[in-house]
Amino acid sequence: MTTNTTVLDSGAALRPSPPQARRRRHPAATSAGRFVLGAGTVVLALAFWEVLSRTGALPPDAIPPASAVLAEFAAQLFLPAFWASLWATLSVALLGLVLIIVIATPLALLIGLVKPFAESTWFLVEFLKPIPPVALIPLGLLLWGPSPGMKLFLIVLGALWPLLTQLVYGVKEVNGVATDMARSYRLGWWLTTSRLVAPSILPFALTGLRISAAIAIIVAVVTEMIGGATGLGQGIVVAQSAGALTQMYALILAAGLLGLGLNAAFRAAEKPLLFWHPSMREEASR
Amino acid sequence: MTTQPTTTEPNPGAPNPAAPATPPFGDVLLELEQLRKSYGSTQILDGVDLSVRRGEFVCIVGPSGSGKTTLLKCMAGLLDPSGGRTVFEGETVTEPPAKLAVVFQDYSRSLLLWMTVAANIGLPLKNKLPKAGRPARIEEVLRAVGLSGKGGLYPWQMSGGMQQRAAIARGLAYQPDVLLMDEPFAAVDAQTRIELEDLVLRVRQDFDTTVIFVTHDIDEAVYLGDRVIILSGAPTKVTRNITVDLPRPRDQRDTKLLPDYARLRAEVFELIQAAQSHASIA
Amino acid sequence: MTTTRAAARAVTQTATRATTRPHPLRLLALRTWLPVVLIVWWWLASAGSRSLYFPPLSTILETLQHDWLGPGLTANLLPSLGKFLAGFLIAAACGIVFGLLIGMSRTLAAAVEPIVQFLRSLPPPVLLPIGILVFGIGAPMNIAIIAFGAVWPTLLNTIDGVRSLDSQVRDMSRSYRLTLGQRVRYIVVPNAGPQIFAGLRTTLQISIILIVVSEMVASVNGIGYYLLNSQQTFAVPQTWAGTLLLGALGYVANLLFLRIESRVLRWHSGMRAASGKDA
Repeated sequence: MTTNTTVLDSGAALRPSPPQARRRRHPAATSAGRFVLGAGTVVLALAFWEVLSRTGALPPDAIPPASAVLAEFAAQLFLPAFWASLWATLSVALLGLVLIIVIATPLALLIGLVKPFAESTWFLVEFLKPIPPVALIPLGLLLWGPSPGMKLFLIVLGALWPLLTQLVYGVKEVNGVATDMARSYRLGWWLTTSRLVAPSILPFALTGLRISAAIAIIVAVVTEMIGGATGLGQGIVVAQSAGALTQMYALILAAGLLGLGLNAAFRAAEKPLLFWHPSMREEASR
Repeated sequence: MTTQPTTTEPNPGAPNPAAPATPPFGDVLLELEQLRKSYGSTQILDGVDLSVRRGEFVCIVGPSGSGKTTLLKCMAGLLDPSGGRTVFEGETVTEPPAKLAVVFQDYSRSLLLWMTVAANIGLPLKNKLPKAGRPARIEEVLRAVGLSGKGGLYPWQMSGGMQQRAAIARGLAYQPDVLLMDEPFAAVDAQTRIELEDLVLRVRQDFDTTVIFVTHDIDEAVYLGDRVIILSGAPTKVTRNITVDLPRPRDQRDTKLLPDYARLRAEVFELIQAAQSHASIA
Repeated sequence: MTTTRAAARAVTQTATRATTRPHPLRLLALRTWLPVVLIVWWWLASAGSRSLYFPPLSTILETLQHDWLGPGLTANLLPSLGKFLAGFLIAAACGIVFGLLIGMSRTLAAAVEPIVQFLRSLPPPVLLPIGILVFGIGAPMNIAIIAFGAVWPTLLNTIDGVRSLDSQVRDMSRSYRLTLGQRVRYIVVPNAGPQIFAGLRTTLQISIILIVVSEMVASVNGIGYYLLNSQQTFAVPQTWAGTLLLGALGYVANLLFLRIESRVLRWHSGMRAASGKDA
């Protein structure tokens, strides 16, 4: 197994590069400058979209003008049905994540600490991991129909692996060096677990959880789109087949914002939890 | 701060008549004129003057926290000074000059891990030498640093000392008029350090290179240099310029037994202590 | 992304610390007993099955052979593979090229950041309806969906890889007066290599997801089409067979990818193996 630096989770990937031997005052050098640049591009892109759509350069029956989509999105925000479908998607994804944590944690401990168990399950895990989670959707639909339970099952089966893999790395890591320290200072079980094991595994857990969350959302949306379970995905398909294009685009916008929100939540959680981690200090040290 | 004129010369770089062991040096190769550098309101360099002649081996020492690396980067054209200028071979430095090579402090970060040692050395030569001439040049410098036949290894297959030899070889292969070395031995163990010091002295002789050597190690500075430049703490200035009139070739055992060596070493030590305490008050 | 990189580093160390492995035969036995037991159990338990939903494994395998090794190969499998490969390659190429550009220009990075962050947060399947509207149903739509939906992990990882260049390497390349082309070719790209490949692996996984989903909703051939069609017509053995085939394809694609990765990043795996003594 090579390092699993996979990354649906490049949270900080677009963080500004360290201030380096710069020659001139750079427009992207200050955070205000970066904000202006970023906001400017968004406004420009929206204006471009609007113009193309109004002039008919983009087929209006495929891509309605930006202003109409934004207005529809704002209108959706006042509809209980919108929030219901958003919640249907989000809640089942979150529930799936909870289940994934409950399942992955003992499994990771077993795989990380019990060698025969690790070897025995190796092939199974390596085989199940790369299977595309959506491949199971038809089977799930066939067996259980478009129910929340089916959605949950597919989410767990599809999004379990990133967290499991990362947790196993974490467990092995702790098992290596730091425990010698704990033993030589006779820290005891509670101190070892709370001060040493948990903080060491945390970075791995958060990375894994972030990737798992992204996959969970994908699986939830696809199940809704194809299987017709209630949620954002279903809303998008229904709007499309009803020809309500602005509504469809508004819901797609909502799906993107949901993903953004999840990412932001993870980043916000990382800061206080991992303040000691080298990755958090990277900017300062370079 | 003392002002007694022990071995200090008012005219830095000029041949010292009192030191016949020091070879006569050529024309001025590199000159710093009132070099200043500040980041925002923090002033790092506060008007550094220095002049280095062709063939000299100049060591620059200073207390930790003095802008040694900043100074070296300004010399190398890697940083634009905020004031003053660097003149190299008669021209103001605005970008890294072609006849100047830098050996960086941390070999593990300046060698490219995805290339063999030979390819690492060959990379800067792509703009200097036609392809056919490169293998011979690479082999020549590898031999000079004692890495004959090791060109096919990757940096991570070598010890720290070998990696730093490779980095020096890369600098030499570039055939610079001046080799800037930024605390090159800070990260190697004591035994390797001694070997590498003598290596630098030897290749400097063989390749007839001017060397500017930044270090925080007083013994190293006195042992290697024709001159030792002592920097103050930040904001940094040149506080003293000491000619090292120890005989060459230098020898790890014999040179360090000379009374003059002990005297120079003590003098540099005192100056640095003074600079440090001055800096900590300021 | 930062934690991932740190995690990867730590993993490297763990891997090299990995203690002595058991005897190869013992290892083989340890690794194979469970899958063998499971398959045998499935075979026996389902052998006389009358259940509509759980047909005998033998029936599933016969269907698999009949549907996929005969005319199904050219009718469904090859078109799927072709579209998948085209989409993946476009996504990979765009991700790397734009990632290099954005990674090397702070202005560009600041300008496109909000849009990139939004697009990569979009669950890619929601693009399907737009794809159908713009491209209609067929191969161009399938390929476009993959390219647009799967490009982001590679793009972001390439940006991050370019940024991760050590400041001393940057100084080195300037002081030796390497040209821009030389810096990109010999320094920036190889330095970002491990991260680019990590991104490509995710791009690969998303590409597989997207070829399946896009064929389910907007194609008249391919594995995804076959799979959903058999589900909707209650062709149960076909559904099972298609699922198994997809699983196998995902597994093989990943395996091939890892092969290529270790070939291209030979220096990196060598270094990781050596880092036990010299890190």
